[in-house]
Amino acid sequence: MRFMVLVKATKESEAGVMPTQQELAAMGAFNEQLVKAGVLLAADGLQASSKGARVTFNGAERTVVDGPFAETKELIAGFWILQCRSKAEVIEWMRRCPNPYPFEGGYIEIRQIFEADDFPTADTGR
Amino acid sequence: MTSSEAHAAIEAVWRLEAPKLTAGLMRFVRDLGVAEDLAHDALVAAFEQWPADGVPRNPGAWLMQAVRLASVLEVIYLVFNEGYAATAGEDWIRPSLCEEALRLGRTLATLLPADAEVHGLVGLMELHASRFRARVGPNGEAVLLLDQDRGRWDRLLIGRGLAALARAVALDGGGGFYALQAAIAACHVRAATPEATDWARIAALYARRVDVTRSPIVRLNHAVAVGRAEGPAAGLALVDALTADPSLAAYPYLPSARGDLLERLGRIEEARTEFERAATLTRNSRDRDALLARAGSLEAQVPRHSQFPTSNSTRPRWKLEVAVGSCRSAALSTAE
Repeated sequence: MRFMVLVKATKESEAGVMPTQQELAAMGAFNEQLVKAGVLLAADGLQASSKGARVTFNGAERTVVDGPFAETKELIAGFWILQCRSKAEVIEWMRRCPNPYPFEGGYIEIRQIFEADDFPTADTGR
Repeated sequence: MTSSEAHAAIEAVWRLEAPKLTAGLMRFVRDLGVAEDLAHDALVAAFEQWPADGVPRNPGAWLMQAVRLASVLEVIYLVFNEGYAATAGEDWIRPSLCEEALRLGRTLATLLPADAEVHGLVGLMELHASRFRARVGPNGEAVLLLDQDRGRWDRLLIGRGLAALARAVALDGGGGFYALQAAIAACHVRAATPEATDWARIAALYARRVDVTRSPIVRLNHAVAVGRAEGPAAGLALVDALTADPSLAAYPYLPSARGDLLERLGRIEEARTEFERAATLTRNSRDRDALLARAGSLEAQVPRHSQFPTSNSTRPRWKLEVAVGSCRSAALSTAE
Protein backbone atom coordinates (compact mmCIF):
# COMPACT_ATOMS: atom_id res chain seq x y z
CA MET A 1 0.00 0.00 0.00
CA ARG A 2 1.12 3.50 -0.78
CA PHE A 3 1.05 6.65 1.25
CA MET A 4 1.63 10.29 0.54
CA VAL A 5 3.33 12.14 3.34
CA LEU A 6 2.73 15.88 3.21
CA VAL A 7 4.92 18.57 4.70
CA LYS A 8 3.23 21.88 5.42
CA ALA A 9 4.61 25.26 4.51
CA THR A 10 6.25 27.54 7.05
CA LYS A 11 7.01 31.26 7.17
CA GLU A 12 10.53 30.38 6.07
CA SER A 13 9.54 28.12 3.19
CA GLU A 14 7.08 30.74 1.98
CA ALA A 15 9.80 33.39 2.20
CA GLY A 16 11.99 31.20 0.00
CA VAL A 17 14.55 30.56 2.75
CA MET A 18 16.59 27.53 1.71
CA PRO A 19 17.42 24.80 4.25
CA THR A 20 20.94 24.87 5.67
CA GLN A 21 23.60 22.45 4.41
CA GLN A 22 23.23 20.54 7.65
CA GLU A 23 19.46 20.24 7.27
CA LEU A 24 19.83 19.14 3.65
CA ALA A 25 22.40 16.51 4.63
CA ALA A 26 20.18 15.16 7.41
CA MET A 27 17.17 14.92 5.09
CA GLY A 28 19.35 13.35 2.40
CA ALA A 29 20.52 10.69 4.84
CA PHE A 30 16.93 9.98 5.88
CA ASN A 31 15.81 9.65 2.26
CA GLU A 32 18.71 7.33 1.57
CA GLN A 33 17.50 5.05 4.35
CA LEU A 34 14.08 5.00 2.69
CA VAL A 35 15.65 4.13 -0.66
CA LYS A 36 17.75 1.36 0.87
CA ALA A 37 14.66 -0.14 2.45
CA GLY A 38 12.94 -0.09 -0.94
CA VAL A 39 10.05 2.04 0.29
CA LEU A 40 10.67 5.43 -1.34
CA LEU A 41 8.85 5.90 -4.65
CA ALA A 42 9.17 9.66 -4.96
CA ALA A 43 9.93 12.74 -2.90
CA ASP A 44 10.08 16.40 -3.79
CA GLY A 45 9.96 19.82 -2.26
CA LEU A 46 7.66 22.55 -3.54
CA GLN A 47 8.68 26.13 -4.13
CA ALA A 48 6.99 29.03 -2.33
CA SER A 49 3.36 29.68 -3.22
CA SER A 50 4.43 33.03 -4.70
CA LYS A 51 5.58 30.96 -7.72
CA GLY A 52 2.23 29.14 -7.96
CA ALA A 53 -1.36 29.99 -8.81
CA ARG A 54 -4.90 28.90 -8.00
CA VAL A 55 -7.69 28.12 -10.42
CA THR A 56 -10.96 28.62 -8.58
CA PHE A 57 -14.11 26.76 -9.74
CA ASN A 58 -17.52 28.25 -9.30
CA GLY A 59 -20.14 26.52 -11.49
CA ALA A 60 -19.01 27.13 -15.05
CA GLU A 61 -16.77 30.00 -13.98
CA ARG A 62 -12.99 29.71 -13.63
CA THR A 63 -10.98 32.36 -11.84
CA VAL A 64 -7.21 32.38 -11.77
CA VAL A 65 -5.37 33.93 -8.84
CA ASP A 66 -1.61 34.10 -8.68
CA GLY A 67 0.24 33.35 -5.45
CA PRO A 68 1.41 34.02 -2.81
CA PHE A 69 -1.35 32.77 -0.52
CA ALA A 70 -1.74 33.92 3.02
CA GLU A 71 -2.84 30.86 5.04
CA THR A 72 0.66 29.36 5.34
CA LYS A 73 -0.24 26.31 7.41
CA GLU A 74 -2.73 25.06 4.83
CA LEU A 75 -0.13 25.17 2.11
CA ILE A 76 2.00 22.19 1.20
CA ALA A 77 5.76 22.51 0.97
CA GLY A 78 6.79 18.99 0.02
CA PHE A 79 5.86 15.33 -0.12
CA TRP A 80 7.06 11.77 -0.07
CA ILE A 81 5.34 8.82 -1.70
CA LEU A 82 6.15 5.68 0.26
CA GLN A 83 5.21 2.07 -0.37
CA CYS A 84 4.94 0.29 2.97
CA ARG A 85 3.23 -2.75 4.47
CA SER A 86 1.03 -0.73 6.79
CA LYS A 87 0.25 2.74 8.09
CA ALA A 88 2.12 1.76 11.25
CA GLU A 89 5.27 1.24 9.21
CA VAL A 90 4.96 4.67 7.59
CA ILE A 91 4.48 6.21 11.03
CA GLU A 92 7.62 4.47 12.28
CA TRP A 93 9.60 5.79 9.33
CA MET A 94 8.30 9.33 9.70
CA ARG A 95 9.05 9.47 13.40
CA ARG A 96 12.68 9.10 12.34
CA CYS A 97 12.45 12.00 9.90
CA PRO A 98 14.60 15.04 10.73
CA ASN A 99 12.40 17.86 11.99
CA PRO A 100 11.17 19.70 8.91
CA TYR A 101 10.04 22.62 11.10
CA PRO A 102 13.18 23.65 13.02
CA PHE A 103 11.76 27.08 13.92
CA GLU A 104 8.18 26.88 15.12
CA GLY A 105 7.42 23.13 15.11
CA GLY A 106 4.58 21.53 13.14
CA TYR A 107 3.24 18.25 11.80
CA ILE A 108 3.52 16.16 8.70
CA GLU A 109 0.41 14.41 7.42
CA ILE A 110 0.20 10.77 6.30
CA ARG A 111 -2.47 9.93 3.76
CA GLN A 112 -3.13 6.57 2.11
CA ILE A 113 -3.27 6.50 -1.69
CA PHE A 114 -6.19 4.71 -3.35
CA GLU A 115 -5.24 1.40 -4.96
CA ALA A 116 -7.10 -0.66 -7.55
CA ASP A 117 -8.59 -2.79 -4.75
CA ASP A 118 -10.18 0.23 -3.11
CA PHE A 119 -12.57 0.91 -5.97
CA PRO A 120 -16.00 -0.70 -5.76
CA THR A 121 -16.72 -3.63 -8.02
CA ALA A 122 -20.18 -4.20 -9.44
CA ASP A 123 -20.60 -7.77 -8.21
CA THR A 124 -19.72 -7.15 -4.58
CA GLY A 125 -21.12 -3.64 -4.39
CA ARG A 126 -18.07 -2.70 -2.35
CA MET B 1 44.09 -15.27 -23.14
CA THR B 2 42.37 -16.42 -26.31
CA SER B 3 38.71 -17.12 -26.32
CA SER B 4 39.25 -20.84 -26.94
CA GLU B 5 41.63 -21.06 -23.98
CA ALA B 6 39.01 -19.36 -21.83
CA HIS B 7 36.36 -21.78 -23.08
CA ALA B 8 38.59 -24.77 -22.30
CA ALA B 9 39.15 -23.39 -18.79
CA ILE B 10 35.41 -22.85 -18.32
CA GLU B 11 34.66 -26.41 -19.39
CA ALA B 12 37.24 -27.83 -17.00
CA VAL B 13 35.91 -25.74 -14.11
CA TRP B 14 32.38 -26.64 -15.04
CA ARG B 15 33.03 -30.38 -14.80
CA LEU B 16 34.46 -29.91 -11.32
CA GLU B 17 31.94 -27.42 -10.00
CA ALA B 18 28.57 -28.18 -11.61
CA PRO B 19 27.43 -30.91 -9.17
CA LYS B 20 28.43 -28.76 -6.17
CA LEU B 21 26.67 -25.74 -7.62
CA THR B 22 23.50 -27.66 -8.34
CA ALA B 23 23.50 -29.24 -4.90
CA GLY B 24 23.99 -25.82 -3.26
CA LEU B 25 21.17 -24.38 -5.30
CA MET B 26 18.82 -27.19 -4.37
CA ARG B 27 18.85 -25.81 -0.84
CA PHE B 28 17.40 -22.52 -2.13
CA VAL B 29 14.97 -23.62 -4.77
CA ARG B 30 14.09 -27.22 -3.85
CA ASP B 31 13.60 -28.18 -7.47
CA LEU B 32 16.27 -30.01 -9.40
CA GLY B 33 15.20 -28.64 -12.79
CA VAL B 34 15.32 -25.06 -11.57
CA ALA B 35 18.65 -25.64 -9.81
CA GLU B 36 20.17 -27.01 -13.02
CA ASP B 37 18.80 -24.08 -15.01
CA LEU B 38 20.33 -21.61 -12.57
CA ALA B 39 23.66 -23.40 -12.62
CA HIS B 40 23.47 -23.24 -16.39
CA ASP B 41 22.85 -19.48 -16.19
CA ALA B 42 26.11 -19.14 -14.26
CA LEU B 43 27.88 -21.09 -16.99
CA VAL B 44 26.46 -18.75 -19.64
CA ALA B 45 27.66 -15.77 -17.56
CA ALA B 46 31.13 -17.32 -17.41
CA PHE B 47 31.19 -17.79 -21.17
CA GLU B 48 30.33 -14.11 -21.56
CA GLN B 49 32.78 -12.67 -19.03
CA TRP B 50 35.81 -14.90 -18.71
CA PRO B 51 37.13 -14.57 -22.28
CA ALA B 52 37.06 -10.76 -21.81
CA ASP B 53 38.10 -10.46 -18.16
CA GLY B 54 40.23 -13.58 -17.75
CA VAL B 55 39.48 -16.65 -15.65
CA PRO B 56 38.90 -15.53 -12.04
CA ARG B 57 41.36 -16.65 -9.38
CA ASN B 58 38.77 -18.85 -7.70
CA PRO B 59 36.44 -19.96 -10.51
CA GLY B 60 34.26 -22.12 -8.27
CA ALA B 61 33.56 -19.22 -5.91
CA TRP B 62 32.88 -16.93 -8.88
CA LEU B 63 30.35 -19.38 -10.28
CA MET B 64 28.69 -19.83 -6.91
CA GLN B 65 28.39 -16.09 -6.47
CA ALA B 66 26.92 -15.67 -9.94
CA VAL B 67 24.49 -18.47 -9.20
CA ARG B 68 23.52 -17.10 -5.79
CA LEU B 69 22.67 -13.71 -7.20
CA ALA B 70 20.81 -15.33 -10.09
CA SER B 71 18.84 -17.45 -7.65
CA VAL B 72 18.04 -14.46 -5.43
CA LEU B 73 16.74 -12.57 -8.46
CA GLU B 74 14.85 -15.67 -9.51
CA VAL B 75 13.15 -16.00 -6.14
CA ILE B 76 12.23 -12.29 -6.06
CA TYR B 77 10.73 -12.62 -9.51
CA LEU B 78 8.85 -15.78 -8.56
CA VAL B 79 7.27 -13.94 -5.65
CA PHE B 80 6.36 -11.04 -7.91
CA ASN B 81 4.87 -13.35 -10.53
CA GLU B 82 2.82 -15.25 -8.03
CA GLY B 83 1.29 -11.93 -7.02
CA TYR B 84 1.00 -10.61 -10.57
CA ALA B 85 -0.71 -13.58 -12.15
CA ALA B 86 -1.95 -16.00 -9.52
CA THR B 87 -1.47 -19.46 -11.01
CA ALA B 88 -4.63 -20.90 -9.52
CA GLY B 89 -7.74 -19.64 -7.78
CA GLU B 90 -10.08 -16.68 -8.01
CA ASP B 91 -7.87 -13.64 -7.96
CA TRP B 92 -5.82 -12.22 -10.76
CA ILE B 93 -3.55 -10.09 -8.68
CA ARG B 94 -2.23 -10.34 -5.14
CA PRO B 95 -0.70 -6.90 -4.77
CA SER B 96 0.97 -7.48 -1.41
CA LEU B 97 3.23 -10.18 -2.89
CA CYS B 98 4.19 -7.87 -5.73
CA GLU B 99 4.95 -5.07 -3.30
CA GLU B 100 7.20 -7.30 -1.23
CA ALA B 101 9.08 -8.39 -4.33
CA LEU B 102 9.43 -4.83 -5.57
CA ARG B 103 10.71 -3.73 -2.21
CA LEU B 104 13.31 -6.51 -2.11
CA GLY B 105 14.36 -5.72 -5.65
CA ARG B 106 14.76 -2.01 -4.95
CA THR B 107 16.78 -2.78 -1.85
CA LEU B 108 19.00 -5.16 -3.79
CA ALA B 109 19.55 -2.48 -6.46
CA THR B 110 20.96 -0.12 -3.83
CA LEU B 111 23.24 -2.89 -2.53
CA LEU B 112 24.46 -3.93 -5.99
CA PRO B 113 24.27 -0.73 -8.07
CA ALA B 114 26.71 -2.05 -10.68
CA ASP B 115 24.76 -5.23 -11.43
CA ALA B 116 22.80 -4.81 -14.67
CA GLU B 117 20.46 -7.74 -14.07
CA VAL B 118 19.25 -6.37 -10.73
CA HIS B 119 18.28 -3.12 -12.46
CA GLY B 120 16.73 -5.11 -15.29
CA LEU B 121 14.60 -7.06 -12.83
CA VAL B 122 13.54 -3.94 -10.92
CA GLY B 123 12.66 -2.23 -14.20
CA LEU B 124 10.61 -5.21 -15.30
CA MET B 125 8.68 -5.37 -12.03
CA GLU B 126 8.06 -1.60 -11.90
CA LEU B 127 6.77 -1.61 -15.47
CA HIS B 128 4.45 -4.56 -14.86
CA ALA B 129 3.25 -3.04 -11.60
CA SER B 130 2.46 0.23 -13.39
CA ARG B 131 -0.45 -1.56 -15.09
CA PHE B 132 -2.06 -3.06 -11.97
CA ARG B 133 -4.89 -0.54 -11.74
CA ALA B 134 -5.89 -1.14 -15.33
CA ARG B 135 -5.75 -4.95 -15.23
CA VAL B 136 -9.00 -5.53 -13.36
CA GLY B 137 -12.37 -4.39 -14.69
CA PRO B 138 -15.42 -3.18 -12.78
CA ASN B 139 -16.66 -6.75 -12.21
CA GLY B 140 -13.30 -8.08 -11.10
CA GLU B 141 -12.67 -9.51 -14.55
CA ALA B 142 -9.31 -9.43 -16.27
CA VAL B 143 -8.72 -6.55 -18.65
CA LEU B 144 -6.01 -7.47 -21.09
CA LEU B 145 -3.12 -5.34 -22.16
CA LEU B 146 -4.50 -3.95 -25.41
CA ASP B 147 -7.92 -3.26 -23.88
CA GLN B 148 -6.61 -1.44 -20.84
CA ASP B 149 -7.34 2.21 -20.16
CA ARG B 150 -3.83 3.60 -20.51
CA GLY B 151 -4.83 6.65 -18.51
CA ARG B 152 -4.94 4.36 -15.48
CA TRP B 153 -1.38 3.19 -15.90
CA ASP B 154 0.79 4.55 -13.12
CA ARG B 155 3.11 7.17 -14.61
CA LEU B 156 5.27 7.26 -11.48
CA LEU B 157 6.06 3.54 -11.74
CA ILE B 158 6.52 3.80 -15.49
CA GLY B 159 9.10 6.53 -14.94
CA ARG B 160 10.86 4.43 -12.32
CA GLY B 161 10.77 1.34 -14.53
CA LEU B 162 12.16 3.12 -17.57
CA ALA B 163 14.91 4.66 -15.41
CA ALA B 164 15.88 1.23 -14.03
CA LEU B 165 15.92 -0.22 -17.53
CA ALA B 166 18.12 2.67 -18.70
CA ARG B 167 20.58 1.84 -15.90
CA ALA B 168 20.69 -1.81 -17.00
CA VAL B 169 21.26 -0.78 -20.62
CA ALA B 170 24.01 1.66 -19.59
CA LEU B 171 25.77 -1.09 -17.61
CA ASP B 172 25.78 -3.95 -20.11
CA GLY B 173 23.67 -3.10 -23.14
CA GLY B 174 20.45 -4.50 -21.73
CA GLY B 175 20.82 -8.00 -23.14
CA GLY B 176 20.19 -9.79 -19.84
CA PHE B 177 17.34 -12.14 -19.05
CA TYR B 178 15.28 -9.55 -17.16
CA ALA B 179 16.41 -6.45 -19.04
CA LEU B 180 15.16 -7.89 -22.33
CA GLN B 181 11.75 -8.53 -20.78
CA ALA B 182 11.77 -5.04 -19.31
CA ALA B 183 12.56 -3.65 -22.76
CA ILE B 184 9.49 -5.46 -24.12
CA ALA B 185 7.31 -4.07 -21.32
CA ALA B 186 8.79 -0.64 -22.08
CA CYS B 187 7.56 -0.89 -25.70
CA HIS B 188 4.02 -1.23 -24.37
CA VAL B 189 4.15 1.60 -21.87
CA ARG B 190 5.73 3.95 -24.40
CA ALA B 191 2.80 3.48 -26.80
CA ALA B 192 0.09 6.09 -26.21
CA THR B 193 -2.47 3.82 -27.90
CA PRO B 194 -2.49 0.07 -28.68
CA GLU B 195 -2.22 0.90 -32.39
CA ALA B 196 0.99 2.82 -31.72
CA THR B 197 2.71 -0.30 -30.29
CA ASP B 198 6.05 -0.99 -31.95
CA TRP B 199 5.41 -4.68 -32.68
CA ALA B 200 8.42 -4.99 -34.94
CA ARG B 201 10.69 -3.97 -32.05
CA ILE B 202 8.84 -6.31 -29.69
CA ALA B 203 9.25 -9.18 -32.14
CA ALA B 204 12.96 -8.38 -32.47
CA LEU B 205 13.36 -8.35 -28.66
CA TYR B 206 11.59 -11.70 -28.41
CA ALA B 207 13.91 -13.06 -31.09
CA ARG B 208 16.84 -12.05 -28.84
CA ARG B 209 15.13 -13.76 -25.91
CA VAL B 210 14.69 -16.92 -27.98
CA ASP B 211 18.46 -16.89 -28.55
CA VAL B 212 19.12 -16.51 -24.82
CA THR B 213 16.62 -18.99 -23.40
CA ARG B 214 15.61 -21.36 -26.23
CA SER B 215 12.38 -21.71 -24.25
CA PRO B 216 9.26 -22.83 -26.16
CA ILE B 217 7.21 -20.31 -24.15
CA VAL B 218 9.41 -17.47 -25.32
CA ARG B 219 9.13 -18.85 -28.85
CA LEU B 220 5.36 -18.73 -28.47
CA ASN B 221 5.53 -15.10 -27.36
CA HIS B 222 7.80 -14.36 -30.30
CA ALA B 223 5.24 -15.93 -32.63
CA VAL B 224 2.46 -13.76 -31.19
CA ALA B 225 4.55 -10.61 -31.63
CA VAL B 226 5.36 -11.60 -35.21
CA GLY B 227 1.63 -12.14 -35.74
CA ARG B 228 1.13 -8.49 -34.79
CA ALA B 229 4.12 -7.11 -36.66
CA GLU B 230 3.81 -9.08 -39.89
CA GLY B 231 0.26 -10.40 -39.86
CA PRO B 232 -1.58 -13.46 -38.54
CA ALA B 233 -0.33 -15.86 -41.24
CA ALA B 234 3.32 -15.26 -40.29
CA GLY B 235 2.46 -15.68 -36.61
CA LEU B 236 0.44 -18.85 -37.20
CA ALA B 237 3.29 -20.50 -39.09
CA LEU B 238 5.54 -20.01 -36.04
CA VAL B 239 2.85 -21.14 -33.58
CA ASP B 240 2.10 -24.27 -35.62
CA ALA B 241 5.78 -25.20 -35.39
CA LEU B 242 5.33 -25.36 -31.60
CA THR B 243 2.21 -27.52 -31.40
CA ALA B 244 4.27 -30.72 -31.40
CA ASP B 245 6.41 -29.58 -28.45
CA PRO B 246 5.51 -31.90 -25.56
CA SER B 247 6.35 -29.27 -22.92
CA LEU B 248 3.53 -27.09 -24.29
CA ALA B 249 0.95 -29.90 -24.51
CA ALA B 250 -0.95 -28.67 -21.43
CA TYR B 251 -0.07 -24.98 -21.82
CA PRO B 252 -3.31 -22.98 -22.20
CA TYR B 253 -1.66 -19.99 -23.87
CA LEU B 254 -0.71 -22.06 -26.91
CA PRO B 255 -4.29 -22.81 -28.02
CA SER B 256 -5.43 -19.33 -27.01
CA ALA B 257 -2.71 -17.67 -29.09
CA ARG B 258 -3.48 -20.03 -31.96
CA GLY B 259 -7.19 -19.27 -31.63
CA ASP B 260 -6.53 -15.54 -31.88
CA LEU B 261 -4.46 -15.91 -35.04
CA LEU B 262 -7.03 -18.25 -36.61
CA GLU B 263 -9.80 -15.79 -35.81
CA ARG B 264 -7.89 -12.97 -37.45
CA LEU B 265 -7.49 -15.19 -40.52
CA GLY B 266 -11.24 -15.74 -40.59
CA ARG B 267 -10.97 -19.45 -39.63
CA ILE B 268 -13.70 -19.00 -37.03
CA GLU B 269 -14.67 -22.60 -36.33
CA GLU B 270 -11.05 -23.66 -35.73
CA ALA B 271 -10.52 -20.56 -33.58
CA ARG B 272 -13.51 -21.42 -31.38
CA THR B 273 -12.24 -24.97 -30.82
CA GLU B 274 -8.86 -23.59 -29.75
CA PHE B 275 -10.37 -21.17 -27.20
CA GLU B 276 -12.46 -24.00 -25.76
CA ARG B 277 -9.40 -26.19 -25.50
CA ALA B 278 -7.48 -23.40 -23.76
CA ALA B 279 -10.37 -23.04 -21.28
CA THR B 280 -10.10 -26.70 -20.33
CA LEU B 281 -6.36 -26.32 -19.70
CA THR B 282 -6.25 -23.23 -17.50
CA ARG B 283 -6.47 -23.53 -13.72
CA ASN B 284 -7.41 -19.91 -13.10
CA SER B 285 -11.18 -19.52 -13.03
CA ARG B 286 -11.13 -15.94 -14.32
CA ASP B 287 -8.96 -16.99 -17.23
CA ARG B 288 -11.43 -19.76 -17.95
CA ASP B 289 -14.37 -17.33 -17.97
CA ALA B 290 -12.58 -15.01 -20.37
CA LEU B 291 -11.71 -17.87 -22.74
CA LEU B 292 -15.21 -19.35 -22.72
CA ALA B 293 -16.68 -15.89 -23.35
CA ARG B 294 -14.43 -15.51 -26.33
CA ALA B 295 -15.35 -18.95 -27.69
CA GLY B 296 -19.01 -18.08 -27.17
CA SER B 297 -18.65 -14.82 -29.07
CA LEU B 298 -17.39 -16.78 -32.08
CA GLU B 299 -20.24 -19.27 -31.98
CA ALA B 300 -22.67 -16.55 -33.07
CA GLN B 301 -20.57 -15.58 -36.06
CA VAL B 302 -21.21 -16.83 -39.57
CA PRO B 303 -17.78 -17.66 -40.99
CA ARG B 304 -18.22 -16.16 -44.45
CA HIS B 305 -19.13 -12.78 -42.97
CA SER B 306 -16.09 -12.69 -40.79
CA GLN B 307 -13.27 -13.03 -43.23
CA PHE B 308 -11.81 -9.80 -41.92
CA PRO B 309 -12.92 -9.51 -38.33
CA THR B 310 -12.31 -6.05 -36.96
CA SER B 311 -10.63 -5.50 -33.68
CA ASN B 312 -13.34 -5.31 -31.06
CA SER B 313 -12.35 -3.70 -27.83
CA THR B 314 -15.14 -5.32 -25.82
CA ARG B 315 -13.97 -8.80 -26.72
CA PRO B 316 -11.32 -10.15 -24.38
CA ARG B 317 -8.12 -10.38 -26.34
CA TRP B 318 -6.98 -13.01 -23.95
CA LYS B 319 -3.68 -14.12 -25.27
CA LEU B 320 -2.04 -10.77 -25.67
CA GLU B 321 -1.72 -9.98 -22.03
CA VAL B 322 -0.53 -13.44 -21.36
CA ALA B 323 1.66 -13.98 -24.32
CA VAL B 324 3.05 -10.56 -25.07
CA GLY B 325 2.87 -9.04 -21.64
CA SER B 326 3.99 -12.31 -20.18
CA CYS B 327 6.07 -12.16 -17.07
CA ARG B 328 6.06 -15.82 -16.23
CA SER B 329 9.45 -17.21 -15.54
CA ALA B 330 11.23 -20.47 -15.18
CA ALA B 331 9.88 -22.36 -12.24
CA LEU B 332 6.31 -21.22 -12.68
CA SER B 333 5.96 -22.46 -16.17
CA THR B 334 7.26 -25.65 -17.58
CA ALA B 335 10.06 -24.51 -19.74
CA GLU B 336 11.12 -20.89 -19.77
